Amino acid sequence: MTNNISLNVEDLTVHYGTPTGDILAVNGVSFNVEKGEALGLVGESGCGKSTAAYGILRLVQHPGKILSGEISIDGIETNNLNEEEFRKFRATKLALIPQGAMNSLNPTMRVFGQIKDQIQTHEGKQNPSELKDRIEDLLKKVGLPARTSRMFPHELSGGMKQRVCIAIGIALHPSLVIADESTSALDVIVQRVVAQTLSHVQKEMGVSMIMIGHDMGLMAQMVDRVAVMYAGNLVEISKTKELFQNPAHPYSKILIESIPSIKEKKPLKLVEGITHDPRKPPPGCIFQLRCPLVESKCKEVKPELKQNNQDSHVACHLAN
Amino acid sequence: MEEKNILEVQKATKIYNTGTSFFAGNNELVALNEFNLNIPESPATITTIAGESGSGKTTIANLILGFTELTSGKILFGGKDINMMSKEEIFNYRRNIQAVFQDPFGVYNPFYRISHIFEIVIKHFKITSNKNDARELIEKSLNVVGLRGEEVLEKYPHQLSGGQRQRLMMARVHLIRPKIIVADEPVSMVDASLRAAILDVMLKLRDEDGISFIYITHDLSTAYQVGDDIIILYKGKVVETGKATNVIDNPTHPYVKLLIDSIPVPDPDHKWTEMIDIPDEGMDFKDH
Amino acid sequence: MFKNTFDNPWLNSRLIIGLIIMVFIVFGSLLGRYVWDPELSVTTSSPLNLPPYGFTNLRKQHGVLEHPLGTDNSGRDMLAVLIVGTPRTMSIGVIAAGTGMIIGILLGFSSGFLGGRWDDFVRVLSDSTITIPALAVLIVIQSLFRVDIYTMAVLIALFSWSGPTRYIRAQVLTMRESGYVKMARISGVPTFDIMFKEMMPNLVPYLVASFIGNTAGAILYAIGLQVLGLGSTRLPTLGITIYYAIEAAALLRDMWWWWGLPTFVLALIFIGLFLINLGLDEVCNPRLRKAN
Repeated sequence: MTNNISLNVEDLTVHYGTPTGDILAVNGVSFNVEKGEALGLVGESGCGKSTAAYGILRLVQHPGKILSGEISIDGIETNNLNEEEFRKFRATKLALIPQGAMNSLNPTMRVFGQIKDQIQTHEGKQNPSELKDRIEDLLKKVGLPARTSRMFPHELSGGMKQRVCIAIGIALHPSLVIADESTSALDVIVQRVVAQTLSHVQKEMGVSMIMIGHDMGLMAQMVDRVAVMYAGNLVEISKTKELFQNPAHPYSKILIESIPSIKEKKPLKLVEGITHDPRKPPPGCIFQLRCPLVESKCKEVKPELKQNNQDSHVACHLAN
Repeated sequence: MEEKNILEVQKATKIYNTGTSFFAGNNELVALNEFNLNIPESPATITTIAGESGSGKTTIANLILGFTELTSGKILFGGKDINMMSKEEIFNYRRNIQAVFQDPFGVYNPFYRISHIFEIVIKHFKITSNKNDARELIEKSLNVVGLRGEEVLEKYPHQLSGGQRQRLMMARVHLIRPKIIVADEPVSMVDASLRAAILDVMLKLRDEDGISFIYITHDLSTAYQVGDDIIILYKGKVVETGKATNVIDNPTHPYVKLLIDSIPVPDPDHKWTEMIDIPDEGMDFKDH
Repeated sequence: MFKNTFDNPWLNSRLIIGLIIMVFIVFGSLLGRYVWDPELSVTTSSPLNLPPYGFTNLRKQHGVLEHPLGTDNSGRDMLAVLIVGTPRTMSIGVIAAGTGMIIGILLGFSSGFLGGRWDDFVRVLSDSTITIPALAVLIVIQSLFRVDIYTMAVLIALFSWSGPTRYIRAQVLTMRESGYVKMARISGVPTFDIMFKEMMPNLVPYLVASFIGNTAGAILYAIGLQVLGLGSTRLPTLGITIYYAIEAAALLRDMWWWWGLPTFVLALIFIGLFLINLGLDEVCNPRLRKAN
């Protein structure tokens, strides 16, 4: 294992139990994130991207269960850690900025108190003046003025709240930050500010980041590589430029083509959603029911994620 | 002008009295300031009202649909002021101005099956009293949106996906055939890849059934694709209007320029150039 | 088991246990008269002061099978008293709660939906009613007028309508802003239909929960009055039995079955109703549902 890999995920599988059979939410997903890299994780609703993130963090709750997965962060295999060790590890090395984070800020606490909470819970009591400097520095990193620390969440706008959540996420100098739909509930201009803040913070601190989302335009602006998921499977993982210019997997092609443009008016491309029953995926390629290029091999043999060219890996029999 | 307007909004203003407010110490919030809008009888058009949150676009929907009242100004339907309408005229107004809302879940009564939304419309708008005719009409409307009655009518709302539910809302308005449909962020809670299906129905309804739309959104890319005209709002005031393609290709107002510039372009070679600060958040961002 | 309880919030343990208790009590009181002679609840129908079967009282008398739960100092058989008294106690609760509920539905619905002056009026009325000390007023009325239990139930209802009214009004205010009510409004549905065909079906779990809570509360008021000796004395209720027991110094005479058995039945009733309420809470409030 080369030591410029920050996160390595091998064969992660998460199922949700239901009375009529398990839903294969994440099905044997493997990928890695390099040190200092921003990886985008995209796919439509229900494709399993959030579940994959929660699987990595071992935050999957009943009726979900993690069936397999070897996760290593900075070279340390997390399966070798017990519960207590993993919790400490997770708290300090990994950070999660969950979906809707801005709505889960404690409404009765000022911003200062919330960041202080985060720091002191995991690092113990801090020297008050050092703490104050550290918190002001964090706020500065996310583009908020120092006096934000004395404000309550209801006095902040959506964009400011989200940036406070980013500050809380990076407070403990994690190695890897997972940002789940950090900008989805925000207005266009605010979204840009928050997205730029996230990128800026990521580059300045040199942390690795996984950005989960469905806005392909944002992905183009913010990440180095993109991983595309469909119905629990990873179908393509390519460098951003390669994905947008030469999408290798038929599903990636559909995703790219359905982005509405503001440069030219063109007829809208109609697309269906996930059509198969998530409890009984078809044998063979997961995308066969919607694929315009499907062949008989696709219906029998499941394609592996293989290197397509130097900038992309794809799981498709018809690539190459 | 000879051109008759079905709907005219004249200098519509809505002011909320908020009491203790965060906004600059005032007690008043001007949600909408002297807004004007004309929807002609024909041809059918899609007028986009675009803006960010707090711009007043949802207020316009609420005013036109009668969920809230004007502080000043007038709304005329067929030349008649809606505040001075008789009960019958109001009923007619309701029949001809319909809506599709943002949230595809809340609009369904969880107690009833999907068929309920069509049944109450057929009953109360007196579309037909014949059960067989009703079923046929419902099926036709479902087909327009790519669904079949046997797939969806007997299901409960929670058994269908968000995209399906929103398409059903479009089928509902198709059944009613109003003159105008107010579509308030109809695709923002629908998956990106499925939005085209809903927007496509909007275009169909405009072209084949002559229904005009007031399309309210914050997403300028979809506005570019389906809108004929566009009105851009900022903090309750109109900042720019014109043909959608013109305004978005060549904006003149600085806010609109910033707005369009902030739309993430799906091209990794075209990144945003500068880090910006949010204009006028009520906060002084100079101390960085 | 897994299959049934998975997705169905109605099948939670609290609700089921509560229902089992209440079904036991209701059936016991309805069918009890066919199993045991209710005439034995009249004074001097049985020997005096007998303990339950298997026990001995201070006078060294043993309990007998003919009076398995013992007797009191006037010769009433305890089992018969329980069989006759429980339905009377329950019916006070049900009548009071039912009346309060009907008032609550009418006032709460109309004020929540229509708003305006009517809403202001109802709100002021219900808020001031809450501040009146119900028990004190009921004690005064009872000591002056000695009404029968059904009138007492209605009087209790006059003090307990404000709770349901406020509760229902709050629910209606929330529902009024919901998407489907907006949808109904633009579909030409008249106001009456919106209230009773759109909102009401979704309110039913709340209404039932409110009713159960009020029943327990009404029984509590009634017991309070009866234990103080202010209930009707013609036919036994659980509360008045406790009153007699205290009056006759049953505690000193170690006649624990006299005050203990009615207390036990009352405790069962309250626990049953409370559990049902908790169970219904899980149905109404999805966030409370535990993932087992």
